[in-house]
Order: sequence, then C-alpha cells, then structure tokens
Amino acid sequence: MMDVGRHPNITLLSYSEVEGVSGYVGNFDVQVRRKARYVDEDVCTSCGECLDVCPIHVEDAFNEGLSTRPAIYRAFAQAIPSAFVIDKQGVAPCRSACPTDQRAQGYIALIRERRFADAFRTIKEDNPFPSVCGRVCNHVCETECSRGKVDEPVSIMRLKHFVTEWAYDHPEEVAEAFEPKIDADAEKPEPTGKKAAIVGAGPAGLTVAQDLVLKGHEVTVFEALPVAGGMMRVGIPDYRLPPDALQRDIDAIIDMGVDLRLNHPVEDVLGLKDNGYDAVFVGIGAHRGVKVPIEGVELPQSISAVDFLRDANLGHYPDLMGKKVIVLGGGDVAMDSACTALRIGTMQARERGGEAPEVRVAYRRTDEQMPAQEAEFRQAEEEGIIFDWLVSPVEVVPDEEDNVCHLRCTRMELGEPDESGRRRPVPVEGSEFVLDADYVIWAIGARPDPICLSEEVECTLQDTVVVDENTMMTSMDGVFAAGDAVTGMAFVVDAIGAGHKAARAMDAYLRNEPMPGPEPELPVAELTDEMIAEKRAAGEIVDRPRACVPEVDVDGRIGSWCEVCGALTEEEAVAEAMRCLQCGICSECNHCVHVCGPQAINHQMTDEILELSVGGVVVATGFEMWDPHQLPQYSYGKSPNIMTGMEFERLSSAGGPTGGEILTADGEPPESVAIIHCVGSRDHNAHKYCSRFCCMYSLKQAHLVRDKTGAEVYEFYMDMRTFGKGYEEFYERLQEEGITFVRGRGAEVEVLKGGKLRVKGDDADLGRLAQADVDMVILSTAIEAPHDADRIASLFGLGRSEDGFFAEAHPKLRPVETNTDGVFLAGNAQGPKDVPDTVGQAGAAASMTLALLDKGEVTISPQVAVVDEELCSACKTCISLCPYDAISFIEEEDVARVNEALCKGCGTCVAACPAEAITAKHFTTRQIMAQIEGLFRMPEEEPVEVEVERVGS
Amino acid sequence: MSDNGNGFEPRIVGFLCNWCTYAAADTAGVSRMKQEPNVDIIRVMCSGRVDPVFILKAFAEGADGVIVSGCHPPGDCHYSTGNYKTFRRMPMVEALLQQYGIEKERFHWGWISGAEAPKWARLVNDFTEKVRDLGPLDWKRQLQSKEE
Repeated sequence: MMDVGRHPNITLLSYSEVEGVSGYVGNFDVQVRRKARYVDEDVCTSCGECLDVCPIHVEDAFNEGLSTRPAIYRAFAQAIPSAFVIDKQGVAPCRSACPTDQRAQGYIALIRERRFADAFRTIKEDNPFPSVCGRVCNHVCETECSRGKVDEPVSIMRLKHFVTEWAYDHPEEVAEAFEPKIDADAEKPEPTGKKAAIVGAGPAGLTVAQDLVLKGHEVTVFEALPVAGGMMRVGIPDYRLPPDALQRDIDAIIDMGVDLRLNHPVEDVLGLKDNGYDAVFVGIGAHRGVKVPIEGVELPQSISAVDFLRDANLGHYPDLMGKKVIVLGGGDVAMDSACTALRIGTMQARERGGEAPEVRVAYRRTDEQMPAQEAEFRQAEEEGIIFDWLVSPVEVVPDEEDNVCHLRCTRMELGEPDESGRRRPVPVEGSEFVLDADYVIWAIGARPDPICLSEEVECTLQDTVVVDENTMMTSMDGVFAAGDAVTGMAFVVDAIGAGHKAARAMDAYLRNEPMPGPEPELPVAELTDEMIAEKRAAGEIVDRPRACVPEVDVDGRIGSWCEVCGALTEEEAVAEAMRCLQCGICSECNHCVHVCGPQAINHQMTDEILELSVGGVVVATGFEMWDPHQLPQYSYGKSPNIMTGMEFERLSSAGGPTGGEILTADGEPPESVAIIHCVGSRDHNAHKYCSRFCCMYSLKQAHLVRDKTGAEVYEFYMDMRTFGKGYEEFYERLQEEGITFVRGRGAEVEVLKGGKLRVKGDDADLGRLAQADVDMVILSTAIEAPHDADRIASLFGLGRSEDGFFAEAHPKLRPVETNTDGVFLAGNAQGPKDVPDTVGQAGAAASMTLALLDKGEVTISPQVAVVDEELCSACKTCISLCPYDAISFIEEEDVARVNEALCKGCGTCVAACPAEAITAKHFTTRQIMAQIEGLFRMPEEEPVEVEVERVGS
Repeated sequence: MSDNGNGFEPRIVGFLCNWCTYAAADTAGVSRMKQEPNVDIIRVMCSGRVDPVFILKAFAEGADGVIVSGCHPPGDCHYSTGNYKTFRRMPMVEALLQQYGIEKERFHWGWISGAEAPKWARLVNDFTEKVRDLGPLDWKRQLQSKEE
C-alpha cells in the first residue's frame, strides 16, 4: 500500500466518489466528487496532536464500533494517504442560523467534556460579547436547534451564560486556554501603521475595533455618551444585563490596545478621514425614538422608549411613584420600558412610603402577534404589568398645566395580513375611549440619527446608511458602516456579525488588498426524522427536559435592579449540554486548528468535482458484512460476547481496542469459545451462496484463541472448505492443536443467566444434538454486495448476478471483463474471494486495462446502425433516442448520420425510424422478418430466401 | 402437459434481448430446467429494437402468442435506456392488438434479468398453458379469407 501511495504514476483519490461516467471504451469522461477532507493532504504530517483536543467521540468503524474515535481521525494507522480527515456533516444548524457564526455545537461539546475554559475560547472566537449574548440574545440558534424536533431546543443561550460566568471566575485557567499552542510569535499581529477611526462604541463599533486591532491596525473609538456599549449599555435595563457584566467584555477589547474616547461626539465623520485616519467606521446605532404624530405627542411626559431607557440606565429617574404609565408597543423594548418604569416607581414608593405605579402596555394587535420574546412577556405579566390588546392611541390629552393626564384611544380589530404576514389592525369606528395616564412611553421603534454624516454618504428614507452587502462600505470610499445604523433597530448578534464583515473588508482596504466578495455558502448539517430515530435506537439521545433557569421572585426583583435570571450550575450545564444531538458530528470548536503545527486544517473546505479522461476503468468496490441481527436465533446484540468474525479480528489485532488481548466484555480471557460457520451463508433464509473465505479465517481465529488464551475452542461447521494451496495442511495442524470440530450447522445461541452462552447445534457425525456452554461466540458471517451496488451498476452499465455481485462477461471464459467494453472487475465486487484470488484477479484486470491502453485503438463490434441517406426524411426522431449520441444531423445534406465508433448497435433507432431508413447490421428488419417467416414455414415448403444485404457504403 | 381436449399445441414467438432475457433463457437451457417446447426465440440486441411490426408479423404468420422481454428498468439495460423505449412502445402494441381482435392475454411483455433463469422457465410454462387454454388464434387464415 505504501508503494502505491508513493508511486509517481499513481494518483490516489481517497475520500472520493464517482458521480458520473460518459463516453466509451478508450475515451471515458469520469466525474469524481472529492469530498471535503477539511485537512490539507499535502500539509498534514499526521502527528496526531489534534486527536487529543477534539471533544467529539463517535463509534470507530474500523474497530467495528468496539472503541470510539474523535471527529478528526485517520481510518487506521497504516492508511494511505496518512493525512487526517474531519468527519463533518456540514455546519451545525445553530451556527448557520447565528449572524455571528457562533460555534454553538463547539462550545456545547466542550462543556460536555467539562473543558469550560476551552469552551470560552471557542465562544470568544466569533463573539466579543458573550456576557451580553448569554443574557439578552434573540437566540435564533435555539429556533433552528434539531433537538426541538425531539422535545425542546437546547438552552444554548443559557449555556453561554454559564461558560462566561465560569470564565470570569477562573481567569487563570482561561489565560492558559488562550495561550498560543504552536507559535506565539506567529499569532502576534505585525503593526501595519494604518489608523482607523470608529464612531460609536456599540456592539458593531467595538467588534470592528477588536478585529482591526488584532490585525495590527491602530484603532481609536469615539463615543458621544459618558459610557461605552451603545444600546447594550443604555438600551437594555440593568436587571437583564448588569453593567459590570457588560463592562468586562468591553474591558477585554480595550486591553487589546484600543483607544476609547468617551464623551467625544463626532460632528463630521468625513472630517476624520482628513485628520489622518485611513478608514472610518460608522456605528452610530439607532438612538432616535419614533412616535406617532398625533395631537399632544410632544408633551413633556410623552417620551420615546429610547430616551426613557437611556436616562434610566444612566441613573436619571423620573418621579413615577403612584403614577399611571402607559407603554405603547409590543416588542422587547416595550417590555423593558414597562418593567423599568415599574421598578423605578416601586423603588421610589418603597423608599418614600407611597403607592406603587400602575403600568400598562397598550398594543394594537393581540398577544399572538406580539414580537416580544415569550420569557420577557411572561416575566412582565408576573410582575403585574397590565396588558391592553387591540388598542391604538388617538390623542395625548394634557391638563391645564400642560402635563399629560389622559390618553385617548381607539379599539382595533384584525383585518387582512400585511407584507410581514401579520394581520393588519384596523380601527373600530366609534370605539374611542380614554385611559388615565401620567406618562406615555413610545416603544414603537427607533431610527439612526445621521446628522454627523454629510450628504455625500447615501442614506435611505428611513435614515439608515446604504452599504455594499459584501464589504459594508458606504457610498464614500473608505467609510464603512454596520449595525443599527444600517439595519435600523435590530439585535446585538446582528450588529456583531455585520461588524466582523465590515472589519474583514476594512482590513483588506487598509492593506490595499482586493475587497472580499460574498462569503461561500457552506452546506448545513440537517438531522432528518430518520436520523433522529436512528440516534434514538442507538441510545445516543439523552432523555432529559430542557434546563430551567432560576429567576428571582417577583417581590424581590421589582424593588431593585438585581438580575432576574440566574446562571445554570456546573452540573445543570453539563447535563444540558448532553442534550445536544451533535448534528454536524464535527462541532467546529476550532481547537484542532489551535494545535496544528503545520496549519493543515481548513474548516471552510468544500467538495470538489474532478473531471477525468480515462481509457479504462477497474471496478473494485468490494463487499459489506451481512448483519447477523437478521437471524435472531444467533442472539447477536444480546450479549457483548457474541461477536462477528470481523469484530473478533479487531479484538485480536495489536492495533485494536485491547491492544491484541483476547478478552470478554468483563475484561477476562475466555475459558471456552465457539465459532459458528456459515452464519448467513449457504442459508435459504439469508444468502444462498458460500462466502468462501470464512472457513479459513475461522480456522485462523481458532488458532489465535488457542495460542493466546489456551481456551477450549469448538468449531461448528457444515463443510470445511480448505480449497487453496497450503490450506488443507493448516486445517490438519489445527486438528492437532486440540480444537473440537463439530460437523453440523450451529443452530442457536442462548444467553444464560450469569452471562454464559449456550451454543446448540447438530452433530452429523454422531447423529445427535451437540451443545456447549462457552464464554465467547464468534459468528463467521456472510459477506454481501455493498448497499449502493445498484448505483455503481447503473453508473458503469454493469449487470449483476443473482447474488447481487457485479456480473462478469462470461462466468468461465471472461471472468474479469464486463459487458461494457473498457470496464473490468477485480476482487469481491465480482463475487466472494480470498486475498490471493483477489490479487490474482486484480492483476488480470490491470493487464487487460494496460493491453487496452497500450494498443491505442479498439476493435468494435460490426453490429452498428447505418442510415440510408436517400430514404432519410430528416425527422430527427433517431437523434433524441440514441443513448450514446452516436447519431448527428448533417444540416448541409439534411440527413442523419451514425458515428460507427460510438454506436453500440442496440437498434432502438431502427425500430423508431418512420421512413425505415436506418438498418441495424446483422439485425436488419428483413433478417428478422425472414426468421419469423421461417418459423412458420412447413418443412416441405420452399426454404425462405434470405438476401444478403449490402448496407451502407 | 395439460391438454385442452383437442390436442392443440400453441406456437409462441419470443423476442428476447441479447443481454438479459436471452442470457436467462440460455442459462435455463444449460441448467436443464424443464420448459414447454412451444416457444421459438428470436434474439435481438435490445428489446428497444423490437419494432411493433415484428409482433404483428409474428401473429400474421401464425403465432398464437408473442413474448417480448428485456432488462429490468431502471439501470439494468446494457444500452442504458433501451428498455424505457420498450416500456413506452409495448402498451401501444397491446392497445393495437385488441383493436385487431387479438386477446391481450396472447401478448406478454416484461423484464427478466440474466440472473433469472428460473423466472424465464416459469414464464414459458405459464404462458404456454395460458395460450393453450385460449385455443388457436389462426389469424393467418382469417387474413387470407378477408383478402379473398
């Protein structure tokens, strides 16, 4: 095998599949799919460092499932090429759904392994704000989570919350996890000497700042407010996101060397470019609240939610004790505003001994259409917020002193669905009514305030900045934008994702490199219902409800700014992580990348289609083992000590799971072993044929058991087929080694109490039933054609014999050729055979292929079709019928013509030609008609005259 | 051999494709499977070569039954899609024969792979028995009397 791998004239396409074949003998065009290996074959040195860090454990097919292997693996130690492969079904749905590409399956896999510091590194790889996104995310990952098809999605957001809190409690472990594992210098950025200005220290701006600093650029962030964090700091109330939690993430970015200037509003963004900054990023967010222009809307107590929450977050509280507050809207911001107002008023009331406020949310649709997250709505309801559905404001009514005292409203009803698919609310005529109100808070959206941008930067009518979708560059060269400033009010993850995209483009811009194009679409791993059922059958689905997050009781939380939701405990987090179905197999945690010295790993690899032109093809697709579950009398699967010959082969191999020791499942060497021949072979209930090499390997295994353990061995055989050179002598030697041979089919295996296995069978020599109680049973199972043999057969035009293996051209005289010229067979693809026979047939197939290629020309059969061009009516019927494209239409002469080299002589065109212009040589219509006439001619009549036709020219 | 009482023995013509059913018939013979002697085989390279005219010709010459058999769709056809053409043409022939007053039971078309020799032998025996029960077709004489 090594020689094959090293041979200069052999290109080995491993991990590949033939997808299409066209052409004919000597001129085949073959399409080969080279499956993404995710490891560069030419760079990987197969050192195996990656094996230790991979958090995934799957059944090792090479060891017949007797051991596990990581997702990054090599089929077996001597595999050629020796480069590793990553077993990946695609990007996990949770990662695919996340705008930041967060490797959720990755950090969940690491949590399962209790590698929390490593999990934190995986999180930080894509998300600079884990403290935020573990608490307030809209978690689209959970919406897409495959576990949702089983019961409820994995609590992905709360697992991130747990890891982040753990990480900030264990700074030393985290520092160690983040240490460069291969080359510390290589991971340090080279300073580029370029300067970038970031306007706005929100999630988008700080993400860009971090990414650019890590690339070696000098970054200054300008922030108008006295605090950093943007909407994360002044839009999200403290009880959902404590400011010190946020500040930890911000400090981590600043510590990388970002220059942050607070209280520093930028009035002219473009001016920054003239002041020595090579590129500018606009991340100004959407901080201008929207109100409906009704009468009284500009009264002092009618304020936008953006302004209200900002003031509250900065510690400026209005007097809400005993007041009536109405929040208009139905989104998360409406919930936040209502609960914040409730807390302010309650705290004031408790301090000063007054009445708590009455807070109500008025929404123009119903709770079913409300965009707020379910948990937020539930918490608001628990806290005593009153909800009024189908209500819309008409006028804010002031008292004599121009303070708000009422809100005049109208009732709504739901009409036809609008563009968003939600039913549009329409006012009910004459339904107006009045609500008492001291404060009206408008939570119906917010817009960017692009006052700092000159008119040269193109904006939409909604004041959002227009950018290129791949580079996030605005209409001004060198000015980039992302986040709410571009999308209008959106989620933190959207801003982070767009920030990464903008930073990639800005880095290219600053280095004068070509701007990045659209990101490649990577296939998403999808778990179908069948796959889930399989996982369930294999016991891979942990039955456990979704983890519950602890919440502070209502009375405790509405009187303070304490965080409502607590973190999961370590045990809860590990148990929750166990619920993950690991859709992608490889979790993309990226730890293999961190330890790979030669940097051979590329998780972005995609399948490649290779087009090959070849003269001949050898099909050597081998066999599969037959599954002994199909004959329940052998009790396969009921005891780990009942195994197939292949499993025993791994058990006795020095490279196998026990290092070559023959042990039962208890770890003890067996005292007695039974080997049953012909399980699934020579059996009308399974395969009728003899699998041919089992007798010999069973004898070898009997010898190994005797030799290594000295155990008693019973061989239940029907006939001992020791047909090859030296084989009979081996059989005789074994008889001398003291093995008990029982002639007769082993009929049944019973698992006894205490684990012993009782084998019953026929002893034909003694004419009675034989029985043996043993510690281990080896089933010499049948082999069969691979499950996808039909696909290979139709690709190469091969026939299959009754047993399912590929049919040779003639069972005695042409055992290597097939009925398709230029396609040859070798090995078990053609039928069961042992190694010497396989090597022999393979040599023959190679010689026949070489003979074909060496000649440089092929002899074709004379049975081809010809067109009588005088009769051809140019209808072109034949052209579409020919499976070989052998007929072409000659426009100048208005006739069809057959290419004799391509025609295989099937004659389907002949049967279809309405002008009877086409003739199949040796199967002409006249010849067949004469045969029919001949059949019915009486012997005494004149013989039928068969004209020997001269057809064609 | 059963008998319909008057000693009638049907004549049957089989058009078999070279690669599948012909190979099956060959194997059935070599394996000495017992078959009625009533079927005469005409080999064609592909069942797609069978011009509907061949079938009419066989009946016109005096056949009491006709068999057309090729490779199993999908994928078994040596010429990749010849059997699909048979699949489309034969129902048409079936309809045509009925219009001529020939019972559809006298015409069998289907698929037998090279590995299905027993299936071929069974078809020969079953079909012969069926046609024997139907009695002689004698289309040749009917045609001649019409001509006169």
